Amino acid sequence: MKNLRIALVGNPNVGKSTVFNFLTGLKQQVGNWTGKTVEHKAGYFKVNDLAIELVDLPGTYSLTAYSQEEIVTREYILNEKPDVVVAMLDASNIERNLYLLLQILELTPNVVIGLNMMDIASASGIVISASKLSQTLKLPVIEVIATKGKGINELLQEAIKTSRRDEAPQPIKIKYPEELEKKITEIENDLKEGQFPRRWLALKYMEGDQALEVEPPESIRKLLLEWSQSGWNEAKLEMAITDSKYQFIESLLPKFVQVNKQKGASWTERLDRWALSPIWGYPILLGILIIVFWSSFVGSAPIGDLISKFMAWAARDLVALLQIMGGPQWLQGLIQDGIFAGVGAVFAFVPQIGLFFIFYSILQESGYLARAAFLGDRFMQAMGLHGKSFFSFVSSYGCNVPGIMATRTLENPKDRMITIFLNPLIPCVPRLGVMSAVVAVFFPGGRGAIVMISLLVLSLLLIIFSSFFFRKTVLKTEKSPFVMELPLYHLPTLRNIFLPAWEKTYSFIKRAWTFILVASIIIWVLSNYPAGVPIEETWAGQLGSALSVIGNPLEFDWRIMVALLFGFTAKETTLSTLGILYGVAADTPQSIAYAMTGAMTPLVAYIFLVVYMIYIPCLATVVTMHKEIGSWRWTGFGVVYNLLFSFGVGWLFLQIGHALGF
Amino acid sequence: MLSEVLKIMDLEQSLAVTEIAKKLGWTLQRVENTIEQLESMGYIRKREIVSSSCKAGGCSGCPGCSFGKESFCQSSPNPTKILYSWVITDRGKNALH
Repeated sequence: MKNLRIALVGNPNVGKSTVFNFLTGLKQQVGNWTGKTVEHKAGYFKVNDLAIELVDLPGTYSLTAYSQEEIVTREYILNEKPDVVVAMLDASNIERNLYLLLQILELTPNVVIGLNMMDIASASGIVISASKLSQTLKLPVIEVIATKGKGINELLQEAIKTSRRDEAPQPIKIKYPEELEKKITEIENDLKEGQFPRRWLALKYMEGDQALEVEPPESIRKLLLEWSQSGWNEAKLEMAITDSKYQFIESLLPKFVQVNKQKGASWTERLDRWALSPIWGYPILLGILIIVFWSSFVGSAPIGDLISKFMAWAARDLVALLQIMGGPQWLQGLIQDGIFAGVGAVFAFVPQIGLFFIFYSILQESGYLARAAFLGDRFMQAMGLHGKSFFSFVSSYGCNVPGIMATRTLENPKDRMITIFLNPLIPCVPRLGVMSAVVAVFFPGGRGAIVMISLLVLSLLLIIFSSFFFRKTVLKTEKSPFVMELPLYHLPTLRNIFLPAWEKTYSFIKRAWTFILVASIIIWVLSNYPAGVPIEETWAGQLGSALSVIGNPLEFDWRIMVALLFGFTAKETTLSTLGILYGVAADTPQSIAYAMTGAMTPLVAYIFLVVYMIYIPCLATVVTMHKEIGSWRWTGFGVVYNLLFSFGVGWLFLQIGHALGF
Repeated sequence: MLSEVLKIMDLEQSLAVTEIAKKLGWTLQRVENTIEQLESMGYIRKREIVSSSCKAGGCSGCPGCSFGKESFCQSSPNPTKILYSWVITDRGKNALH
């Protein structure tokens, strides 16, 4: 009985294993290749007088030496010399599959092609003529539908036929460009006939293949060194060789591929032509932001009013109940002016924050948020600034803490440091929540959307300025562009919109009950003691007075300064602090909006928003900054920079506002 | 083919994969194949954008941050952790210049 050894080769997921299982059934041996973690699969069966050993080689895209799969496959073909190699090709991705085939042909001419996935190719409007492919490659080609078992027996018969041929097949030979061909021949001529095909070995020497068992002779080493010195280094040679193979494939395709209908671009490609367009991308982004913020402000207003009224009613009735029960005066004050004014102030804006999170989820889930951040990054690069900061900026719009941690992907310490310093300038979701609440108070309705967008644009401009400042002064670095894979557009499901939105809103509410409740109680104590004195003389008032040295140039009320100070612990506490301090002063705890609008002008409110947006990262962010930078000095520098920068920008805007007559 | 994509990547501007496809008049599949090959040959290096911070768990207590929440990451069809970018390696630069 004669023996026949057949190797199955192909790209991953090309249907190779299906063919293997169909032919071998249960007669398989599975193990690992010696010294490798790659699975070795062999099957044995008989066909008439032939004992066939079928080896399923690991799926691979090429036969270079960059992965174990590649090395195992090529070593098997080179050392074990199978009688026939069955190359499975995926018709729907023919170019890449032919690239592997060309490399196989450099090792052996005894190849039979199984052309699979014709149905998928056909659905894409691509029709491949198996007969023309066969004529072009000068190799037998069998159409296969592996999943249905069709064509597999014919493929086997063709492999047997090829093994019985007296003369070795003469498949198509790749032609490299003249310059490259000359170099290949030069090396080839220096090689003696041996274990490996000379042409293949010449190519591998040129590519600087690290897994070769045969060292190049001295003459070839010298030649390679000469080429390298004249600019043809290994990296360049390998790329030229690979490019030539693809060019060769490209020249062959029209001979057997017919594109019946020009398949239109995918939805993602079509949408990205607009969404990422240097001309239309930014107006589209602006339009989307206007819709999001306008809808958040206007849509949430009725529910926000209802909650405010409910809070006022609950506080009044609870205090009335306490009075009936003879509850102490301080407890009544704490409930009305502390808890309900502080936590209530936050709750009144929950609908708005919730609605904003819903829109945020839609943008994120649809895949647009990544594009918005990408546009922002490109804008920065267009200004000659840093590009890599994008990595962490995406995270920072959620929260600065993961944003800073995401800078770990940057290798250059200076790049990393700059990105860390820039992160706190990005308004995180909690900050956006508080900002939108304050905007709703001072700029109700559609005006609020414009104000919010102006703040976001300002944040971007300030990031650009700061990046430019750091790169040109303290931490000089080079630009570093990159290519980004953006997610495909998706139609978000209701679950994927509402679940994250609910999680974020719930997190906000939870903190209102826990952290903000505690902060509200502390603020109430600070703003009510020593007892019996005007609020300006309470501990909070005294603290505010001390801070007013910084706040006065910006026309900030002492209450704003205290709120900003407490915002350092967690950004949401700013809102509750304002609620308590203004509530106490105006004696109308149920209406923070009324109290605040009476205490500061829209211009000062805008300045407050600018400062609040960038003034200082929260405590958790500062701790993370220190962990990541590893230096209190640089962490301190970042914090002080934010502080000075925010108040400086605020002061500048105030002057501009006054000059414009606001 | 590889050099065309690598040359575009070497430009002083960050790009999305779809934009490379548009610039070269290629299909997205072809660009993705090329990028995959460039990466396997060591000309470019892949980077995850935010998954490292997601896995670190340091952000789990942050309000509003969806990236640190496993439930969200698993339920999302577009989890941010699968966003990738590529940068040119020294080997890639050697091949170009």
